[in-house]
Amino acid sequence: MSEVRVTKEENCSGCRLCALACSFFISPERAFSLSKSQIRVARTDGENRFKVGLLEDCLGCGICVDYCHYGVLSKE
Amino acid sequence: MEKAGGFAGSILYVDLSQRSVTKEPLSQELMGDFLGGAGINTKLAYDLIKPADDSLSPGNVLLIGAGPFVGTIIPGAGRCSATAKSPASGLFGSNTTGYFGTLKFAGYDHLVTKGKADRPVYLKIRDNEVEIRDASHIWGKDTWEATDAIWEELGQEYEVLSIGPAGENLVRSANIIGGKYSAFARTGLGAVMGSKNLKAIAVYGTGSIEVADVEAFTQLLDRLYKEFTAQAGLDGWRTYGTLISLEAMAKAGLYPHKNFQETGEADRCIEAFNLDNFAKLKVGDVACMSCPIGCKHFVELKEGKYAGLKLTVSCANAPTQSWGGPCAIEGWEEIFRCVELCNRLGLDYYDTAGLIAWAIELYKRRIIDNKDTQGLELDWGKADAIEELIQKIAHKDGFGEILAQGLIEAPKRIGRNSAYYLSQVKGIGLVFDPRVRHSVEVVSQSFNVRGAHDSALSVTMLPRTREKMIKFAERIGFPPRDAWDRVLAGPEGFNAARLSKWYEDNVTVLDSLGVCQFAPFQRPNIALWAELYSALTGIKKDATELLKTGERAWNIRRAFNLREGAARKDDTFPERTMREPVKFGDKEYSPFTQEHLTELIDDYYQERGWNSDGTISQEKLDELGLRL
Repeated sequence: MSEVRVTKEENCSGCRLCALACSFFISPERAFSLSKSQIRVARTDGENRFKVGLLEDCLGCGICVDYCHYGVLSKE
Repeated sequence: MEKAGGFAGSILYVDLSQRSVTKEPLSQELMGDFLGGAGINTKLAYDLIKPADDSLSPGNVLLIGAGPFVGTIIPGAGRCSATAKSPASGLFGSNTTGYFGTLKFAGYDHLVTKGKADRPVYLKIRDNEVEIRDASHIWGKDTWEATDAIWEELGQEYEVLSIGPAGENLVRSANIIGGKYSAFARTGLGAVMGSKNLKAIAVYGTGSIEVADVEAFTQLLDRLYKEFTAQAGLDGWRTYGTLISLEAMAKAGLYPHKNFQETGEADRCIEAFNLDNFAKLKVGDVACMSCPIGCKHFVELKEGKYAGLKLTVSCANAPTQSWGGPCAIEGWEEIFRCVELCNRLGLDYYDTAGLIAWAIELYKRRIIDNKDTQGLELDWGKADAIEELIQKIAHKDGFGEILAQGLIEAPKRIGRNSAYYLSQVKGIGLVFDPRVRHSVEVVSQSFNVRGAHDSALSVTMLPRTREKMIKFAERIGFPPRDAWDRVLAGPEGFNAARLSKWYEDNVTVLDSLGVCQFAPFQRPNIALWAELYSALTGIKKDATELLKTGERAWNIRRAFNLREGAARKDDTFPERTMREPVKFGDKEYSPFTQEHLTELIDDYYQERGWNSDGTISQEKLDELGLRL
């Protein structure tokens, strides 16, 4: 089974396309939601720098990788 | 019809005087006639703000709206719009920024705030839980400190809009800062928040944005992404942001220098704002929500006077056009210090720099002296004095108190014919010199309903040919073919006054949908945006109807201004630009003549279907279905 990895977190711009794409393409509701996605983008240290984390239920489908334009994520 | 896709479906009304919060459904009529975001803000502002109410009175209403595209993965769909009666102009005030879109996930398309709290407060919005909270502990703090304090209280997942001391002190050029960098910049809306004792707004939402026709939407999205990412120059946009055009703009003479007394020489601009040096200071890309480009910049100064300074820079061209040009500051170190000060204090770069550049010229001409400035020695590029004056404006301290009155009142306070040297139209500072280039952005500064350049971004900043203009019109889908003979006419293939109408309508559409208006987002055909709107919301609209909604909102803005007493005489340029020539290197550009201005305004009004006195014709109102 494939797995999504956070490979270049320092590249994250905070756009959240990964999280929104995850919620839309994977959730049964086919709706956009930051809280219903399996990936979290969180601000760090009060700056516009970000941490990216995958939740346990991530299917490894890689849709977030397709929508990340900053090279933060990869699929293996 | 059930709730339309794309929309959260509600408007949140907050009355700070009554300390009441109500939620009302967003009507089908508003969605259909005004699309969302800036368009619906415009209609609500016209309906809710009474002409007699002062911009700083409890009667003014602050509207923040996020269009139907916001919260989806449509590229660039992160734009929110803020609207109120402007403290800078007394007319329609508005601007957009790529922050605060999570309002949609909390369940609201629009936040409407009226009244005045009896003490400093901030708003906490988390889904249906809306609290008016005490802000006495953050009142007086700058936007970074206030934002940090709210993040500490609520968590960093909240998006926070805050005003700084400038907004609290009702400075007419005060702005609203999101996430420490993203500004609702122009027209003084920070002072509206200050007048309401509203320090900040924090939002977080766990809701969803639905799609009406998932299959059609997904197919259109694929098409858009293929087209969008195939554009040349996107890497440059990411690295340099709006500085991508610095060299071309400098060579075209688009950086006014020393308070519009001259035009910045190209070599000086290119060196003073050296792009390699900029790239060395940049440590990361920052993006608005759903933006695949990321044209904002996280910057860190590792050495020198401001070693250790870390900040996010939004539109990087803006500080060069304000602190770099009119005030003649050179080098990124001092430019970034001005950015830091303005972002912390909550001040618009353009109007604040415009006031300071004007003060420097008055000082150099001995119209004012160091008694007026209370000992401050002002000079071109003298960064320490300029930075001190920025702080004095925000705190209404000494000479800063006069400049804090804004571009209409400050010259009245100083007198001595000082108004002649101030580059403003209707209380909003100019960005471009009308003598140098007659593009859409430049000429529209005279008649734009909001003032200045931001709502008419076009492709005419740089020299064009008719062939290219036609090719571009075909690509983007407007102006329509039957308008080409009059709109795409002239030596470079455009009539700037007539074309302004079409770009203003288009930018209003983008601001209403919630899409960025920068160049890469203006390349897709308007018909594609219409198809996406239809698939997302379930409300069918074609390209013509989409542009018509932009036009409808624009006409309401004009009606708002007419209701406030604005007239044709206000659509003008600063007196100096119509009397004196301006030098650009070894070239000299003539004053902008009254004859040319009259011709432009006649053309513009005619293209808009307005009467020659600038009022809206009954025929146009009927065509747009407006009963005002």
